[in-house]
Amino acid sequence: MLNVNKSSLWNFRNQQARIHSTSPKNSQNMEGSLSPDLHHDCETDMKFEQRGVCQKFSVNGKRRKETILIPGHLSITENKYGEYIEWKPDESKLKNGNTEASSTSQNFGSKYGASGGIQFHASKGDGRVEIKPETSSKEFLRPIKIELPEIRSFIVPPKAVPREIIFILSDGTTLNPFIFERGSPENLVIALERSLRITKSRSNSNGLYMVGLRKESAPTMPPSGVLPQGVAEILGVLPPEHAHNVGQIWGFMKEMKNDPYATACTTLAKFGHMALNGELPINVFPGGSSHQMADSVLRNGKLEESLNSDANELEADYTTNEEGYEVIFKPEKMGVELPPLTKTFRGQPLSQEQWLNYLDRDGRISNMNEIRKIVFYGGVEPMIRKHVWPILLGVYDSKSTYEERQYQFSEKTCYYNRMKMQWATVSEDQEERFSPFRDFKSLIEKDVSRTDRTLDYFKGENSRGTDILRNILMTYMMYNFNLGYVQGMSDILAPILMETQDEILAFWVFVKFMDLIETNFEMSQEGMQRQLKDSYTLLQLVDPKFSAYLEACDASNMYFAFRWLLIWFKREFTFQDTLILWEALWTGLPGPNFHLFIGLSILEQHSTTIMENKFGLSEILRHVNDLAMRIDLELTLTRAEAMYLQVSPPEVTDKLPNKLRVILGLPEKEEPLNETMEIVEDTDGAASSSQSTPLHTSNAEAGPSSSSGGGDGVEVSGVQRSSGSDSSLERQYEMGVNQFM
Amino acid sequence: MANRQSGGSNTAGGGAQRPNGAPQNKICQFKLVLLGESAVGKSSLVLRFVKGQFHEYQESTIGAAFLTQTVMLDDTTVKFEIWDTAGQERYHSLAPMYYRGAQAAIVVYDITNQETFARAKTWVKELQRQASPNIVIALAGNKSDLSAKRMVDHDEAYAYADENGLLFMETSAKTAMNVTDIFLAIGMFL
Repeated sequence: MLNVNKSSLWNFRNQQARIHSTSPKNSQNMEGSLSPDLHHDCETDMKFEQRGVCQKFSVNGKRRKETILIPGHLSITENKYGEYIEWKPDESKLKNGNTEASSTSQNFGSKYGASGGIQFHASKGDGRVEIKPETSSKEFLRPIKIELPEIRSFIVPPKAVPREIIFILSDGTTLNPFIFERGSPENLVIALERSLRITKSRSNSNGLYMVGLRKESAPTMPPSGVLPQGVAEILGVLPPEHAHNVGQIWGFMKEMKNDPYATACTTLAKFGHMALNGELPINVFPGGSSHQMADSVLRNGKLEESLNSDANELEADYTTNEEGYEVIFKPEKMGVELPPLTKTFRGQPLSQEQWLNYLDRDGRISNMNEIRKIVFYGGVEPMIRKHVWPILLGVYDSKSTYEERQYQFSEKTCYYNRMKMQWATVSEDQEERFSPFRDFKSLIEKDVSRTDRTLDYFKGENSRGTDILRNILMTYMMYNFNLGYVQGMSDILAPILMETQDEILAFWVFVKFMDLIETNFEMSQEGMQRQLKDSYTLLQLVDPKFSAYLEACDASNMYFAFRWLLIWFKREFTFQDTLILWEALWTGLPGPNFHLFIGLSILEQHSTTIMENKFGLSEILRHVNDLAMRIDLELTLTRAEAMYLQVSPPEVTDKLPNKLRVILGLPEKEEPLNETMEIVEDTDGAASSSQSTPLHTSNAEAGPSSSSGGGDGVEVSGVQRSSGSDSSLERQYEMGVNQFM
Repeated sequence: MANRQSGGSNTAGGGAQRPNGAPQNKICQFKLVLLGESAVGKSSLVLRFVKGQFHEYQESTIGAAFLTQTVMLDDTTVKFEIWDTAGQERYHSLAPMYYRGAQAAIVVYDITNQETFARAKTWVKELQRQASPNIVIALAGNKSDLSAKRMVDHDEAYAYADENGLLFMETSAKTAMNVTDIFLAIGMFL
């Protein structure tokens, strides 16, 4: 199992390279100086240096995402062992530079602490943020040093201001963005082009550039006066047609220009035909020329456009397996044409004024469906969450009066306290002979002490927040001892508790939320398996190309999405974003299993990056885990809704196989389906044997179990709507769309 | 597709370095999985090994994490592909997917908790029964910095490891004691 292509050096320690920032000779007319003549200083040569490059960290702040910029400098260095890209925090600036007092002082936890009275910028609102000296961690100040061949690709977001560059490494790691307060990414790219072969990504849309090694034999510098091709394209100096001057490809390119569709079809058809007929082994072209040719051909922007226009006809593609062979994957057609994606929009959160308007004199809610729609599109203003959540989740019936709710709350308070006393009075002696209790308790202790401890509310030894978290989880164990405590539940509770800061209310909201997702945590893990499998089935429908890619990578079991689905994306977003997302999902709109579409939406935003980087199973997991705190919620929600709308019109659902109809909450069709409409069963056994009578929707099959004590009127049942009511729901939903367009 | 060598000594600190242009050395890559009861320090060991960091309140792992680290062992570049798993019994059914095809496993327990040692033994049994027959298993008694609260006797664990042909070390992700060493020991063994 030798793999020569993937050695990785994650070398954070500041090692032998001692860089002297004397100004290089022959510095060119740009701020980031290029020095072709290497100056010899100790053992390290500085080939490029750019000051004023910040590393950007996104952290889960108190109320929102906080962006922390650490000033530093970026350089390309070479020593006798290789070439590196390095970033170092600007220590002089950090120690002496900031004499002005910061306007806001924010207390970061040990995890985000830093040493030396350092000031950072926070991009949103706060202006400068002071991080108090804490020495337990220097996460933000760790220098970065990456061997150049470890760079798989990079992204230069075209519209980002200030300019930034994001590197993706060969093991799937995504580095934090480097923000150019001075200079520009282009200068860096020009310098990188001396050692690396840089090509624009095939999709050519998101500022992604692929990186390959320059062959030793190939000329590493372009003719004088001509910029390297990738750079030229970035700078827009050269039209892409002129960028390809490799004679061998030229003829082919010409044909492609004249009749791109036919030429590409012919070529790819030949390719696929031979493979399918066994004239070639399935593993063909070891890292070879065909790939490069395809790459070069497809790099042409115009061709790409024409390919896209007929994308469904043409999508045979390849990926590279561990041995460096390319594996062709071909999307299976579902036989269902999807309408184009519609544009969807987000709205404003439900305001206090709106909320009060929906309440009659006695506190009954006049139009719950409208409230749901507003919440779906915009969430709930934080101030009224305490009032809206219990109704949205069915802690109280929407037709209950103020008085009734007050009464129920007092009952629920008594009930809560009774259950709390039950565990609180178990003596150590009893515990000795009560092992299930003891085990749950020990798990809770372990997890409570490490749940969101960086946030003020849960910070410090025996913080109040952590105590209450423990109380609620212990009480929930007594409330639902069959489930007890399972890892992930503390993640579900923490944002709810932090927002309400009310032990009893948080408990009952948590109970209702758990009703929706209880199957995620059951012993058999069937609920999770089913959702992962359903996600893949949906992916086959909405993105056959990417689903085929995953299949080829052995990743069709979708395990990389496990964390997403288990705790409804809580680790991927900040608390505030998480709550907005949960509120949308709690409404039950636009239909069953919408949470799976959130996952599809995130995947859709990254499928190109994954495919073009040729990530395999492990790199995909790494990439997906690295997306945490970097996902745009608004975009994710609107795309998810658009995808849902794309698959839910009757003219589409009529043609869908039962497997998909069930996921969408539609009744199964009785007549046998045409063969073309069958979905290919995923071959991987991980998704367990398919159930002959698929359960409806993935969530909360168990429903509101043991909802004693007045958990009446689970009106929401949202995510698990019965399949019968879908048409009215559809209509209601349409109204929602129109209203907010 | 040229062979690459990692530059410079890295966190492992054990490697000989080799100038550019020398004949290319051996590169060895293998899959390693961490198993063990919840909160024994699996993720912390990996974080220490890969990034040289330690977080007192390392959050629980949900699903799995994948990290890589490359070290030089004499003239061989060893690349560790590390799968870090969730520890709770409830997620046990996912484990086979992660140890399938692994050439090495580190089974971790917490020296201050006897039950985690018992759990480690069942992991070892499962690996011996179901993982690839040649898998190299190391046993790590983590949190050795907390020896005041020790509940698992060093010699007992050592004897158990010896009987079962396991590599064994007591480690501390907090102080970094033996962390690199146990990974390197596995690397050498392979």
